[in-house]
Amino acid sequence: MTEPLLSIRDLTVRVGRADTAPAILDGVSLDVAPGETLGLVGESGSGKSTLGTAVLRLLPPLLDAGTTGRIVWRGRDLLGLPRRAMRRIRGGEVSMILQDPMSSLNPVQTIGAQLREALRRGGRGDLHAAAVAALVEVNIPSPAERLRGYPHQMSGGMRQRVVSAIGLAQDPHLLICDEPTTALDATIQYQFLELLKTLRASHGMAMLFITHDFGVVSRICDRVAVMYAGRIVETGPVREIFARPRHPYTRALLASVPSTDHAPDRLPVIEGQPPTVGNRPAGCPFHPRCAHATDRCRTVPPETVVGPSHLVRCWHPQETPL
Amino acid sequence: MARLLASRLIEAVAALLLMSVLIFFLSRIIGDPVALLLADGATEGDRQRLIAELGLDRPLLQQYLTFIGNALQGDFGRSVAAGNRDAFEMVMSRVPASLGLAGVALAFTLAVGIVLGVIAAVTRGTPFDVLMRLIALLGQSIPSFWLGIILIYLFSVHLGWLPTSGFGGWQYYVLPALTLGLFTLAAVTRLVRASMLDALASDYVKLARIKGLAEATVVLRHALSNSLIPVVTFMGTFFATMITSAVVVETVFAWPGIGRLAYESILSRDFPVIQVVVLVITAFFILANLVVDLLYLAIDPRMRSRG
Ligand SMILES: Nc1ncnc2c1ncn2[C@@H]1O[C@H](COP(=O)(O)OP(=O)(O)OP(=O)(O)O)[C@@H](O)[C@H]1O
Ligand code: SF4
Ligand SMILES: [Mg+2]
Repeated sequence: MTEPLLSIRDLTVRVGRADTAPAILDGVSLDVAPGETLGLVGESGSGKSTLGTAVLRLLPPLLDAGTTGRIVWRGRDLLGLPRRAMRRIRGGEVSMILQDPMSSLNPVQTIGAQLREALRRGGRGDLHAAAVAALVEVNIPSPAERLRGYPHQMSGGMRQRVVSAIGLAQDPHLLICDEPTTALDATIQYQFLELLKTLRASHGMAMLFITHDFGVVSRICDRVAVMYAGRIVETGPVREIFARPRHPYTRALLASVPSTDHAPDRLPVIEGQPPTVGNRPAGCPFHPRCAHATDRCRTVPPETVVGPSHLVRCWHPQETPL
Repeated sequence: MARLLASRLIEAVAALLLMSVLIFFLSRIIGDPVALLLADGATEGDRQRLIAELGLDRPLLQQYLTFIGNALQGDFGRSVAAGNRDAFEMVMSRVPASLGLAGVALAFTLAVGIVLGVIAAVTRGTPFDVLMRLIALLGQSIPSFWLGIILIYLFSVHLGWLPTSGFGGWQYYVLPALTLGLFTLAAVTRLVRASMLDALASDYVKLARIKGLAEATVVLRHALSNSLIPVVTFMGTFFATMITSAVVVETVFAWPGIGRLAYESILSRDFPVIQVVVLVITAFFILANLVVDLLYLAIDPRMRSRG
């Protein structure tokens, strides 16, 4: 197996430094190989954005102080890196695009200024030409004109393409996408996913793709990790997970994905509410909502290998096809 | 953008007209100008003659038109209290001193308030931030006449560093400008701190950090430029606060501006002068709001693309 680009081990993010502080992420481990796209799926509040933001060390100070474990990027642990060195990783090696295209661009600066700022760090010579090329790459018509314009003059879909152009300006090895299509409407979503695939191929980069939506996972991801209450409960190749989901939570999520192409933005609800950060149940955090729970589930289940690269964290992995 | 300016201009003229109507009628309701103008031992004959002379026997509308006609030529009558001087000239001669003081106070307030607000936001939760917030709270609760007197006592009487009052070189500006500006300084500091905290938590600041920009660039180029928008929004209010406190501050420091003139002319019921003072202050307000609009256009592109 090739050396992973990103290797996260036992990552725990607490609200503050104290051991007793509530944990948003609780012992998360995952790997992303070069060029690979890993999907990160889970309900709202499960900690997906926290995980993506932690990799760039951009969590608010309180959460950053409460971060333990290891985030190994190409052999170096980012959690031990001084500020300056971390700053060199951002943009150039690891970049990120955010969920809401309406708020991720600075409203008082031109598109050109915001794009050139990223290109300059990437060391491009002719900044204007590079900026035009960057907009062309994300299919924005009349780019020279758009560079002089402001974010409020563009539609959501167009802004999200500008955000990706900024994200890719320094040619990163890994692009973290935090629900980049959730705020877009269905047809634009599709177009944007296709664009991301093209960009992924031309830049040869890996992606950590955060989403609510298994429909999106099937379109763009190679592997998927399912998160519940700050933990990863199942990981495996996308095909394998779709064909043989083993964790009751994954199965519930998949069962609620409509078979049509028009997947809804949000995962449909499973009976009961996901626990809030301070009130996660001991043992398997899913047990209050799980149909297969037994007394054993009040203790933390181990991670079990159930197939090629297929891991599940459950006392009673399900066998029957969905 | 041109439409915006045109509508502002029309509003300005309308506001001035409305103010002139108010002034005209109020001065006829509140006091009896004839009684004020007559000497103590005047007879009924003197009274009638004065009424005719002032045109007070004509219909109100006609009186108003005459008033406007004269006003447009800068003729508001003569001061009752100050030896028959031309009221308009009297007020205008006081304008530069007031503008100078307000300008110094405003510049000081904005410069220091923005710097303190930014520092308080980036050092959020540290002792410096707590201290700043405490000072800002105090600054907004201390009455300016009291602050003025304390400052005079401390820096002029006790330490002898600065003149107690009066008008002259830069030393004369320090205490009155400080007194006039402190309330607004506190307000600007709190406003900038709050809007900086919002901006620093925003997605566009997160994206700026994702690009790998230095923290100083993120704070100054991305967060601050957005945080100044609310400051501009409140500029009109700040200006209004300064004009109101100018009456007190100019009186305490014997500053030869309109504020003190307003105070004196109210005491001596000098109606013609009061009228001009009110009109000039109205004109300042309108001008200030116009400046605020222009500043908006300059810093917020979303305003520029509106009609
Ligand atoms: N600064 C913070 N202090 C305390 N709790 C926080 C903080 N930031 C996030 N949380 C909590 O951490 C949990 C996970 O948040 P996160 O944004 O990572 O979830 P998510 O999976 O991305 O959800 P969504 O799908 O809604 O984006 C949430 O319950 C949230 O309330
Ligand atoms: S460990 Fe138990 S409660 Fe948790 S998912 Fe598996 S069966 Fe359900
Ligand atoms: Mg999120």
